Amino acid sequence: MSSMSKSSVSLAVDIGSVRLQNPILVASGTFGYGAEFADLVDLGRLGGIVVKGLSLHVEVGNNPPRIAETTSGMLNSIGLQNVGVEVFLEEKLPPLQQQGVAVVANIWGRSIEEYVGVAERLDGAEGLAALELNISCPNIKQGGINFGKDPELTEKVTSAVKAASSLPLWVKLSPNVTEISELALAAEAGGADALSVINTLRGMTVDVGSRRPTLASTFGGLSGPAIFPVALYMVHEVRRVTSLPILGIGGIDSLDRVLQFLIVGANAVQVGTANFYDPTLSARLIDELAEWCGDAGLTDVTELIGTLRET
Amino acid sequence: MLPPPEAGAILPAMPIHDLSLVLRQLRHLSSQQFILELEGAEIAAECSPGQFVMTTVGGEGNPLLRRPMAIHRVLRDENGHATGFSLLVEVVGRGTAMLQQRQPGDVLNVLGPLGTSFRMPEPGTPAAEHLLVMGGVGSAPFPLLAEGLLREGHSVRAFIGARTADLLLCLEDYEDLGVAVEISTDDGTRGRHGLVTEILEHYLKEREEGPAVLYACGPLPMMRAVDAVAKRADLPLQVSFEAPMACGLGACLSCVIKLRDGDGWSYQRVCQEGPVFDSREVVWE
Repeated sequence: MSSMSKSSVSLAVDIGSVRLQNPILVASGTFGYGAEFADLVDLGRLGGIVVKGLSLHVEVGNNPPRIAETTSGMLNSIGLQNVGVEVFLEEKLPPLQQQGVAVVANIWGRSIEEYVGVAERLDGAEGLAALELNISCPNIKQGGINFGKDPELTEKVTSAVKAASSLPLWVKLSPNVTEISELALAAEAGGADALSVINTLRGMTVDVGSRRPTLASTFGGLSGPAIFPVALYMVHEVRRVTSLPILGIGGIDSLDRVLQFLIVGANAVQVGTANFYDPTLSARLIDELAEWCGDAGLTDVTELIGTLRET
Repeated sequence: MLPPPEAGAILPAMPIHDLSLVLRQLRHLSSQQFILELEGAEIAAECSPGQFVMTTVGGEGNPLLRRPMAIHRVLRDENGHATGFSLLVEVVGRGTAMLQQRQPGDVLNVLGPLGTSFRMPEPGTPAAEHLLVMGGVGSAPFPLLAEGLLREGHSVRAFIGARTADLLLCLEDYEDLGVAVEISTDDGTRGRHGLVTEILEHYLKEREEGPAVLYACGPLPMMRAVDAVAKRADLPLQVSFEAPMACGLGACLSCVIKLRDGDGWSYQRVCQEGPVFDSREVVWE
């Protein structure tokens, strides 16, 4: 019975002009460039792969230790290590293109010029479905303030990248702000086609024996199941102020979390830290979602999106 | 003389498995050390010496991450078929302490085999003496390597260091395999009173001329000291690193160490380009 109902459920979702075969993507920085998981996951089945954040040039990354485990979560401070956009285009993208999966290039920079440079280089690359803008980076030209903390800078970098590329533009919002809805509106004003909500929460831990920070760079980004309620609330807050498509991110470790994101108004989700400790979760969630929809009498997953009821 | 190992050794083209494995047996070696014997014929049959697995420790998602563990032995049935494998574990934190509490019949989720293996001598290369240098739980990958080298007809000698006699690891493995053993302890309770590098250097001075290959795994200061010994003696050395890691698959980029790269260096992943490296490629700082 369940396999019959499963096959009759449509899981396709539209993120603006981008049609995804299902709403289960994998988040930037947790899935490498895809090939790392090819033994374990049929990449072609995923709703999409958001690759590790790309910069104009090779980035060395931070000194280790780069991770610290926390209660039901982890801190990371990788320092945006990546191969750079040229090597991505030459070596990493071609094998992904053959998988028939939507590939989203996450990009970052230390100045608007750097962001624009990466976006221009990726414009027209075959097999890219969209760009995702990581705005949780310090702007070295304006005293190191994070683009994502300032509505004006958020709008500026969004519109600059939008003008530099014909690809749909997803803006990944930082949760380390007072009112995330203000940043969502700023990204929308800059021309964002969708919003990825949320990036990691800033945090730190200390090694009591040495009295030093556990991470070499003192603080890092908290991710994992521990942040799920925060992420869900922020998707809820963003959904209240915009009708842009939302990709819900933060602490997904089971179908229940996926369903909660969709109910509050996410149009799709990205599985993140769970890829590290449960590498086949993303693929299993696709099957589980289809089965759940069938059992719930839905023929289309979009019937579930944004159906949160008033208390 | 063996050809020098290439940077990062070889990545066997074997698929990675993610398996739910039954714990057959947990043998306590000391209050802090134990051996886990797991089912998992696929991993056992396909792994090479030096490779590792990522295993859950129990705890329903807390701790969140799997732990990297070197494969210690391949377990075989009476016909010689690989049926499972063992892990040699030392309690270093909450995760390994939870692992110590597992019971036979418990199920662990295990990902592997992962990473590079020790580079074995090419068939037909002249016989050399293979010297395995280990400190503490760094002993874990060496019984499997010793077995592989002996199978190919090579001569193997193990240099084992520990804080104290009760914590010496793998003695029964080497006895079982017929491998000669040299021992040192920090407190002098067994073998030479001192460091494992001292017994290694002593041995290298006394031995007859001839090719030798070094392998080391243990605390970073120990491996750095073995590297210095290897350079003085002009002998090739392969080192096996450990590092905190989240995925074991090359995605999280947390387990990096510095490797020489052109005129400078770059961060490379212990889980992917390693855990076994040519010591000459490592930036020892």
